Formats: sequence, structure tokens, C-alpha cells
Amino acid sequence: MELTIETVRTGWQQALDLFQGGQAVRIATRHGISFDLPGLTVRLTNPSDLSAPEGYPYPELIKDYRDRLFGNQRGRSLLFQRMRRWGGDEGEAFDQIGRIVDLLRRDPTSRSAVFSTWSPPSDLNAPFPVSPVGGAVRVVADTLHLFVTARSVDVWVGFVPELLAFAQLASDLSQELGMRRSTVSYQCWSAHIYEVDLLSYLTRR
Amino acid sequence: MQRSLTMLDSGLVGHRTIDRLLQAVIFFADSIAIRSSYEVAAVDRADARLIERRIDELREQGFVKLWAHEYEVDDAGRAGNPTDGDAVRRPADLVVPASTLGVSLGEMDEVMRSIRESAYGREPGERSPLRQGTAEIVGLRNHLASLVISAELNQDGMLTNPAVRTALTSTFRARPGEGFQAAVVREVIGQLQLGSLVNLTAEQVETCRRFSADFRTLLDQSVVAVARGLDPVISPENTARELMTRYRAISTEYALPRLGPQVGGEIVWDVLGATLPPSIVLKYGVKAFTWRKIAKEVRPYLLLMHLERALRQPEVGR
Repeated sequence: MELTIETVRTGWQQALDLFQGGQAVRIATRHGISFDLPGLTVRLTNPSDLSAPEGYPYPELIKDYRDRLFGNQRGRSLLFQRMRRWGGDEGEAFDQIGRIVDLLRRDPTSRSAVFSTWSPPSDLNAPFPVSPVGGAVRVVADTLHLFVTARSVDVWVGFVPELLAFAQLASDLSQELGMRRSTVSYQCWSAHIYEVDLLSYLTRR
Repeated sequence: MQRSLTMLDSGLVGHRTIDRLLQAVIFFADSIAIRSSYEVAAVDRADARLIERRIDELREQGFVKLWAHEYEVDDAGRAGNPTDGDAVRRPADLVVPASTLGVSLGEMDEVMRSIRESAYGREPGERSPLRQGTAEIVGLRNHLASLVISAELNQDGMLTNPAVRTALTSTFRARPGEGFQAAVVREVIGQLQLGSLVNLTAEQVETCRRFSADFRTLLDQSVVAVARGLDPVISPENTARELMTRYRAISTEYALPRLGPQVGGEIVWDVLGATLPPSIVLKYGVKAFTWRKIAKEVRPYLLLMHLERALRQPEVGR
């Protein structure tokens, strides 16, 4: 399933609406009943607008996520460690994003600007494994394309902070590489919403 | 006092769920609420009809109540699971009203904001953890939502599955409660090597329930001791071990027919029925028992005696 949104501010509502049409599958999970879209790709065309959607109930989580990628929570962030300090525990830390910038500066047409955050020995049985699990950056016709793959996203709670953080990353990389614009293509293997949240959403409407 | 609990995440029901239901209603609760729209767990799907029948039976006995969200319930008061194509519709004994749920969830989010750091809690002394970030918050919200639903259903507490219990315990720093009691019961069942309780018949469950109140008093005393800090190092394992030591001592005494006729009739009959084969009961009868004091001490352990007898001699009472 694909969804094109202009901004996160306007797109959250569009993503929530996907759960109304009976396309989502009802699943009994260890956290309770959820409604699941197995495979959703969201194309964000204007990542430079970093404003939050009206009515999104958890603005503090947007700040938390940004702080984990760009601010004072980086030291405690699993995602930051994997993206920017891979292998830092055992030896020299490898900054995947920094190396991608170097690579694209040298060769803007490179198709190898790929990052991976998934570590099978640590993540496969972890209670809270890392997500997103990887992605890629491409530069095509003066546009920076950031591709992100998430294993799972809670559309009611986590979708907005995550997409805003990667929108910011796309904008930052675009600026760093001198691109005119950027897009984010965000694919998640499970886009879901828990039953109580779906009820809250439907009640609000 | 009646004690009704909600079983969390009862959207999937299987043999393990029934075992936990029986542990709860035999040892420390009067009824357990599970989802009316439950699905049979994939691993037990071959036994779906058996599981369905067992849940019906427990519901008829009053040990299980079926709950549903308002949106699931039809005009006839029955709830269905859309995954089954609504082929199975079951009654909804308890319904979470949509009107109040929204307000309660709003309040829950306020709580979540104030305690969200606790979502990342780890055991003391554990190496500084890295945060996935959002998943922990989603997990915490789901646990809080379960509390809200339990409250909306006017239940007295929650019966959790092992994964959620671990998460709740780590979130709320091992506050004693149903989790502690359930852990003690699990230990006791393990030490007695009783195995799963799913083989108990409806009649045996009813019989066990006659002995539940006294055993529950023992469990409650253990929890109160922990809550008051009387014994801060007490653990479910230690509590179970202590219970088992006392139980073994008492059951050994009772296995020897040296007691006299002073014991009250009902408890003697209970002890005899629970511990001794029918031939011994007939031979020694009431004359085999003497002391009232010990009979009082025995009372909390009659449940274990009966369970041992029922599960070790499955033909008895069937």
C-alpha cells in the first residue's frame, strides 16, 4: 500500500484514515488487539515543513525523538548509536551517515549510500529492537531522496515523531550536499494502530 | 469478598490460558474476565472446539466472564471476532462503554506523560541501557490502557501473561500484587509437580474452590508482609518454599492416622477426602483425627492436598 503526503502535518490524518476502510487486519498481539497494514510506503514530498499535525496528542514525543537523533539524548539512543557510532563498543565507531555524506560528495550518482541499523545478534530477540532498520540516500536531479525502512510503526503514537525526525535528517543532508529539495520515502513492514487508540480516534471524529 | 480480575491480552486463548485461568480461580480469584471476541491461539487450533467448550463451562460455573468493547456488541448482546468472519459470536457479560473510555484514555495519557521516563526503566545495576525510544512508550501506554479497561470493567485487578507481568514489574518496580500471588502459585505448582491444571474436571474445580478462601488468606498475608516492608527480601520463590515446607510437614502428619475425634466434622471430611484413598477413609473415619488446633493450621493447605489428589489420581472424582 502506498500513500503520498505533502507534509507530516497534513499526512498524519491521511495515514489514520487508512485504518477506516476495512483494509487493516485485526491481530491479537502480546500488547493487545491491533489493526495492522502489513506493508505501507509513505512518500513525503515536502520534508522541510517540520510542524506537527493539529490534534497530535504527544508533542513531547516529537521532542524526545529529535533529541535522540540530534540533541542531548543521543548518548542513550540505540538508533543514534547504530547510525552514527556503529561498532563503537568494540573498536572505532563508524559514522554511517557521515560516510554517506563523504561518498555522495565524491560521487553524487553513487547507489551505494546505504545505511543499516539492524544487528541480528542483538535485535532478533530483543524486547525493543531497533527501528528503523536501515535506508539509503540518493541524489537525483538536484533532489535528495532519503529512503527509510522501518520494521514497525504505531501510527497513533510513533508515526509523527519518527517521520518528522527523518524529515529533518533529509533536510539537513540536502543542505549539506547542496541540493535544492528533498523527499522521504518511508516504508514500514507493519503500520498499525492499537484498538483503544482507534476507538479514541473514531470517537474524536 | 469477591475478587474479579481481568486477564490481559486475552484476545488469544489456548490451553495455557485455561491453565492460568484455573490457577487464578482456584488459588486467588473468584472470576476472570477475558475477551468475548477471543481467538483460539494458532498453536491450539486443532483443539478449538474443546477450548471453546471449556471456556463455556467455566463461564457457566461463574469463573469466567466475557468482556467486550461497545463497538463489538450487537443488539443481542453478543460480540464477534471479525477475523472469524463473525462466525463465532459469544455473549458479552461486561461491556466497556465507549463514552467513558475516551475520557479515561485522555487521563491515562496525562499519566503517561508524567511517568514516561519509567518506560525505559531497567533493573538496578544493569549496564546503562540504550533506548529504542518509541517502542518502550507504546508498551507503557498499552499497559496503562489495560489498567484503564480493567477499571472500566469495575474489576479488582489484572491477571497478566508472563511477558506483560515482566514489563509491568520492571515499569512499576516490583510492586507486590496479583503478579506476586500468581508467581507464588506458579512456584507452588512447580514444586508440587502438578503440571497443568487443564485436566481438572468442572466438578474438581468446584471442589477446589471450596478450599480456596483459606489458601488465599495465606497468600494475602504474604503480599501484605511485602507491601509493609516486614520482609523486604521476600520473593515469590521464598514464599512458595515456605508454604511448601509447612504443607509437607502437615500433610506428612495427616498421612499418619493418629488424630482423634475432636476435630470439626466438615474439616475432617475435607482432610480425609483430600488426602486419603477411600479405603483408608472408611477404615479410620473420624476417629483417626484428634486435634482441633492442627485442623485449623491445615485449613489453608486443604486446597493443595485436594489438587495433589485430583491430579495424581485423575480417575478419582471423575
